[in-house]
This record gives sequence, structure tokens and C-alpha cells, in this order.
Amino acid sequence: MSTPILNVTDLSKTFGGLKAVDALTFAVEQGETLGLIGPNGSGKTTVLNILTAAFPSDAGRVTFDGNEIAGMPAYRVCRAGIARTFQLVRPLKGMSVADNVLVGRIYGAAAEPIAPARKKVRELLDLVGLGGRAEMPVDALTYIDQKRVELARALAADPKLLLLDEWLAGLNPTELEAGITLVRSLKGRGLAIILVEHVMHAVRSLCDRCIVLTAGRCIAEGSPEAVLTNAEVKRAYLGDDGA
Amino acid sequence: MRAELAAILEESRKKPALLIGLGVLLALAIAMPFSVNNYVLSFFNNMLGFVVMATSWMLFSGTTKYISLATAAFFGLGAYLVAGLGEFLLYPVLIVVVGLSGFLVALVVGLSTLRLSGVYFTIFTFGLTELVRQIVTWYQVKVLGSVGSYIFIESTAADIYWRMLILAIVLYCVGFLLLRSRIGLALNAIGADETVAKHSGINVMGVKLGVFALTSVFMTLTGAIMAPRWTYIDPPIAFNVIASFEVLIMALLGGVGRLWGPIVGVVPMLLVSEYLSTRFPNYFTILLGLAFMAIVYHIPGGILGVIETYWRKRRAPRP
Amino acid sequence: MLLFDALLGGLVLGGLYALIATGLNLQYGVARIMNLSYGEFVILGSFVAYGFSAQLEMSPLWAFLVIVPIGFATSWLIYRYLMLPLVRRAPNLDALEADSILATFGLLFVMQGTFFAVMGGNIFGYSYLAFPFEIFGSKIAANRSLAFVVATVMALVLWALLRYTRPGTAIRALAVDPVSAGLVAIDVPRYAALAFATGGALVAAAGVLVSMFLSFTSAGGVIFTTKALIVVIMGGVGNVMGGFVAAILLGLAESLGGFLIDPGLTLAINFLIFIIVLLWRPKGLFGAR
Ligand SMILES: Nc1ncnc2c1ncn2[C@@H]1O[C@H](COP(=O)(O)OP(=O)(O)O)[C@@H](O)[C@H]1O
Ligand SMILES: [Mg+2]
Repeated sequence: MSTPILNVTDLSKTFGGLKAVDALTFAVEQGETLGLIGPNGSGKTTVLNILTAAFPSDAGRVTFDGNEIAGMPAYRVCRAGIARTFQLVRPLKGMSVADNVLVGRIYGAAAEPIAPARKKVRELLDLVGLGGRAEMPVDALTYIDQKRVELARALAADPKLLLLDEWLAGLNPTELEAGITLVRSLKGRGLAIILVEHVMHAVRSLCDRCIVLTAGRCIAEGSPEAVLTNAEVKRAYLGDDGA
Repeated sequence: MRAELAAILEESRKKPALLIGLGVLLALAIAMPFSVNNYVLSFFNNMLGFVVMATSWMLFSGTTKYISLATAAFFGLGAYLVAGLGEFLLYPVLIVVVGLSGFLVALVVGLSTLRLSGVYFTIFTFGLTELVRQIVTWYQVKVLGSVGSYIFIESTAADIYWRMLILAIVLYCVGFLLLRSRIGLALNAIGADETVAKHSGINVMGVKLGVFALTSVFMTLTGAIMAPRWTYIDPPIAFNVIASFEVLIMALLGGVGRLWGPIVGVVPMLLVSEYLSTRFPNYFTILLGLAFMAIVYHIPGGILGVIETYWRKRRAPRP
Repeated sequence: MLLFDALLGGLVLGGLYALIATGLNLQYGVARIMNLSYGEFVILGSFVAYGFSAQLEMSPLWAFLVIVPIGFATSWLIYRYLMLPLVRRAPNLDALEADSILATFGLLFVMQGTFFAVMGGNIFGYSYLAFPFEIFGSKIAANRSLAFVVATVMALVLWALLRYTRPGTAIRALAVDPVSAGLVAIDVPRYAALAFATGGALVAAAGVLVSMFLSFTSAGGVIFTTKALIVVIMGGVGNVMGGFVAAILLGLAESLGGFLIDPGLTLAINFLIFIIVLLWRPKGLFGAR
């Protein structure tokens, strides 16, 4: 087996007495899609935030591609090859759809000059299904289309690891199938993905492996099937008396 | 940058009319002092000064939304440095020294405040004019023994005009290239959402600091070039908070986020304020404040914003 | 003994800064409005006190009767008719911050221009209780001591109001989290207006006290705004106790700096402290790192 692209050991983060992440250890292999699931408030987004250096962890180590993440500013992390989307979409309002993606292209790991970057941006917009809307202001798009812009922006960076924070949430059934197909096509390119998701159908069909968080701790790890039928996981999701 | 230049050359070759138009305009601008009286020339000097300061303001604050209220601090710094050093240095050396000083002051201000949210920066710049003024006053009282300085550089209004014209042209070229380059994209991204910008690989602090310092150089140089208009300056002349305010009004009136915005705002604003300050000298500040609030509430996108919306609406119904 | 005088003077000054900053904390920490015209209310209070003392030859303390309602009402109107539209149109807190900075910057010039138009550009001051008063073997002017005592009483009253009344509780809830406050049926715009207006009344009253021992000009508001902002940020936005400590610190630094270095550099000293605090603890002396 190859060495993992991401190694997380004993990661902890406390917010004013609340343990959001608690001694978490996991790894992501090259080209692997890891599902990160758990009830709301279990610390999934916090993990992504630490991985992208949005804020430092209190304890633990994160190494990506052989380098320590701790102490790196967020923009270096992105240039090193980790790109993300946000749970609540954050388009760059006031800029065009194409410019949103262009930012990711010229400043991300790809670091391309503007002219060739523009060509790549077209390709990416076609890929996420926004081909005809490149010059529209991003504000004019629907919420779902803004999510697509965000994915294109993340992909434009040419990341080695892509962090998707509930990217499939809020899609209707047809859009969901299209979204799943899109993410699956990314897997084919050898990209490693951490998929934070509540849509279990998507988790089943996309993830190679899953870890389950509750209250910042990992309570189960394994194949999606095994994890989702695990009794403790059911209890974590449904509550003690819910089953 | 070279690819950018090539693209611009390519583009301009396709628009000979634009190129010729710009050339004629430039020739007219250079020849202007020969055909007007001193009163008009002084108005144009004023205008160029405000164009440079408002455009500099727009390039940083308009794009990033980090509102700077310190234009007068840099202007005053430049003016005072000329008053203090004018006798000792050759003019070109003087200009370099002044520019560097503005750069350094901006770096110190930026390093201590630009890492934080925009409010801290604004607050700091809000007090900066008063701060620099206090330090200069203190220095003059303690070390030199008197407040105020004579300016020993002899410059005619036309000299000042040509120098300001050069500064304005340089600024427009720099601004044009900057906004079209990757830095321009980064500035807009920072203004839209700084968190996204940094997670997209933009060295947010570096861009902010660099552009703030660069634009501050232009503000400082404006003060330096304009200083010889007065033969004597004291802190209230050099560090005039109203000037920061006027620059802000002009930039917002024209429309932020566009290189041409400030120039669109400067001319009407100067004409109006010329009228108001002679007609109602005692109520000038009040009227200025009211005018500014009217802009903030009713045309937050500025004149260019209004025009754009109008065009979009006119074009929209067509199939 | 001179050093001790300076310390005592700094303490008194700090007490007044604390009062001024508390008002700003109500406006910025609770109502979320960054008010750059804040210091103009200090000048307004000072002018009214000047009117009572120099013109009517009464005690400047009578000015409270006029200035507290005026400060409250004007600020309430400003919030209701100038700020609330900005709150409504702002897509997020950053946009509101930018808009309120711009609008109140305009307001600053309207108020300052009015002061100039009505009162002119002279330096104003009057003499009230201008005799020394001995305390711990050190002399301090009676007017300063009185100002300090009144400021302390006002701070205590405000504290009690915030602590023990229903509106006070609502305001405190708003300071912590306006969204959740809305969810528990607190009328957010109403209490934000109340907080903003209370801040305005407080700062105008502080202007009366300040004028008892400091001279002032029509253009003097900017300095008070700057100092209040520095104190609020050093103490941590919304943190009244933190602001209190920061204000005392600033008053002491200013007074000692004036004594040891030069009285002409007080603002420079304030800014120096501000920079150090910002670099060392960006969220304020008592904020989380
Ligand atoms: N920046 C923050 N400050 C304070 N608390 C936070 C912050 N971010 C997250 N939290 C808290 O940490 C816990 C985990 O949140 P989060 O990682 O967003 O959960 P999830 O993404 O799994 O729903 C929650 O209780 C949340 O309130
Ligand atoms: Mg989450």
C-alpha cells in the first residue's frame, strides 16, 4: 500500500470548554474517498477547518503530502494541494462566475498565468454544468448553482485532496444523482476526497471508507455498509430512545 | 506581466481611434497651462490632486472594502517632508525620499492593523491624521521651536500642474495594469470574502499590505508636489481631516471598484464644493456631510453604478 | 509627590474614559453600529454645560437635566431613521459595519459643522470648583474629583439597570447573540435602539463632566471617538469590565506619559499602547486569543 496523503493524529480542538474535536486519528490514502459522517455539531466542519488552517488545533498533528500543516497560513495549505468547499456556500459576490473560478485557478496549487487559466476555467464550468453562464454575476445564480461554482473553484486549484462539506445537501433527487455522478468522475482522476455528508445514499455509493464522529470522537470506522449498520452509529444518529 | 502588456498592445492595435483619442487628450493636457490663467490652472491642480488621491483610495479601499480615513495623514506627511527637507535635497532625491517615507509609514500602519478585521484598520486610520499631526507639532515645538514652516521650493503653478499630471498618468497606468492582473483579482476577492480568498490560495496579508503601501506612496507624493502652492504651512493646513473626507466623497460619488470611478466623482464634487464654499462658507462642512450621507443612502454604487444599472435595464427587455 | 499627582489624575481621567467607552460599547457591542460621530456627543454635552456655567452662571451639573434626554432622543432618532435602514439593507455584518462607518462619518461632519456654525472655532472652557482638594496628601482639583464621583455613580446606576431590569437583560442577551435573542422573542430592533440611545445619553453626560476640567473646541470630538474606540477594542468588544480596565490603563498612560515624556504626545502614547495590544492580543486584553 502507498503512504497516505493525509495523516491526522490525536487531533483536538476546544471551543470555550466544548470539545469539538477530541483526540481524532485517521488517514486518507491517495485517490481514496473518505466519508466523514456524524450528527450535527459532531465536529466535522471543525476538522475541515483545521485541515485548511482556518484556525489552529489545540493538540495533535496533521501532515499532508509529507509536510506539517500546523503553522502554515491558509493560503499555503491551499497551494500545497488541499482545496475545500463551504457548508454554507460562499461565492465571491460581485464577481462573475468565471472570475470566481479563475481565482482558484491562478492562486491555487495550479498557479497558472491568467490567459491559459481562463481556458481551463471554461472547461471546469462545462464540467459542473455552468458552461453558458460564465459571464453572469455569481449573485444571480441559484443556491445550487452557486454550490457548483464553489466546486469548480476548488477543482480549479488542481488539489490533491478535496474537502467537500455537505456539498450534496439540499439537492433534489435528479440533481443529487447528477451530483453523485460528478463526484464519482472526480474519483477517477486520482483525487483524494474527504466527503462530509448526511445523504446516506451518496455516502454508500461514493465512499471507499467511512469514519463516524460523535462529539468530536471517532466511534466507528470501516466500509460504508459496515459503518451504517453499526448499532452504535444508529444510536448516535437517532438518540438512545429513538430506535 | 509581460503577457498582460502584450495583450494590451494587441488590443490597442485593434482600436486605433481610442489610441488617437488618448494621444490628443494627452497633448491637450500637456499644453493646457499655456492657454489658461492662474485661477483656472489652480483649479486644475486641485483637481489633479484629488484625482490622484481618490483613485489611490479606490485602488485599495474601494476594492478590498478596508475603508481608510487617513488620506490627509499621507498628504500632510508629504507636504511636511517637503517643507522640512526641501532646502537640503535635490528635487528628484526629495521625491524619492518622500515616496519611501510614505511607503514605510503605510507598512507600519498596515502591519499592525491589516491582519485584523476591517474595523480595526478604519479606526486606526481615523486617528492617524490626528496622530501624525500631533507628532509633527510636537517635533516642531520641541526641536525647532516654532510651529509651521516656510517652503523654500520655488514652483510655478504650471510646474505643479505638470508634475501632478505625470503622477496622475503613472497612477493610471499602474492602476490599469494592477486591476487587470492577478493582483486585481485578488483585491476583488478579498473585498468579496476574505475567508474564501485565503482558502483559495491568496496571500491575503501580502496583497493588502503591498497595495496599501503602494497607493499610500501616491497620496504622499501628492502632498509633496502640492506643497509649494503654499509658501508657509502649519499642521492645520497640511493635516486637514476634511481633505480625507472629500477624497472619500469623490471616490464613492464616482463609484468604487472601477478605475474611472473617482475621476467621474472628482469633477462634479469640486465644482459643487467650490460653489458651496464661496456661497455658504459657514455651512460648508454641514452641507458636505449631508451630501455625503445622501450618496451613502441613495447611490451607494456611485454615478457609474447608476449608469450601469440604467444600461442593463435598457438592454434587458430586448430578446 | 508630582508623580503621585499624575497617577491620581490618570485615574480620574481613566474613570471618565471608562464612562465614554461604556456608551460606545452599548452602541457597537450591542447595537452593532460603529459610530464615528460618537465623540461629537461629548462636545455637545460640553457646550450645554458651558452654557449653564458661563452663560447662566449656574452649576454645570444642571446640564444633565437637558443633555441626558437630548442625548437619548437624538441617538434614538439616529438609530431609528439613519441606522435601521442600513441594518435592513446589509446582507451581513461586514457590510453593515462598512455602511455605518460611512454614514456616521458623514454625520460627524454635519455635527462638527453645526458646532462651528453656531459656536465658532474658539477654545471653550469655564471655571467651576477650580480649587485644589487634598487627598492622601496629594492635591487634586475639586472639579476633577467631583467628575470622578459622578462618573462612578453613573456607572453603578447603569450596571444596576443592565443587571436587574428586564430591558437590561434583553440588552445583555443582544450583546451575546442577536440571532438567538430574536429567537427568544426579544424585539431586536427595539432593544438595539434602546442600547444605542442609552449610549448616546451616557456619552453626552460624560461630555458635561469632561468640560468641568478640560477645555474643548468644536473640532474636539474626533479625539474622544478615537480614544473610546481604542478603549473598547483593547477591552474586548462588548466586554464592559474589560473596557473599564483598558480605560484606566489609558488614562494612567496618558497622564504619566504627559508627566514623564510630554503632554503634547498623549495621542501618540495611546496609539502606541493600542498597537502593542493589537499585536499581542488581537481580540483585546481579555478576549480569547
Ligand atoms: N468557530 C467556532 N467557535 C465556537 N464554537 C464552534 C466554532 N465552530 C464550531 N463550533 C462548535 O463546535 C461544535 C462542532 O461544530 P461543527 O464542526 O460545525 O459540527 P458539524 O460540522 O459536525 O455539524 C459545535 O458545537 C459548534 O457549535
Ligand atoms: Mg458542519
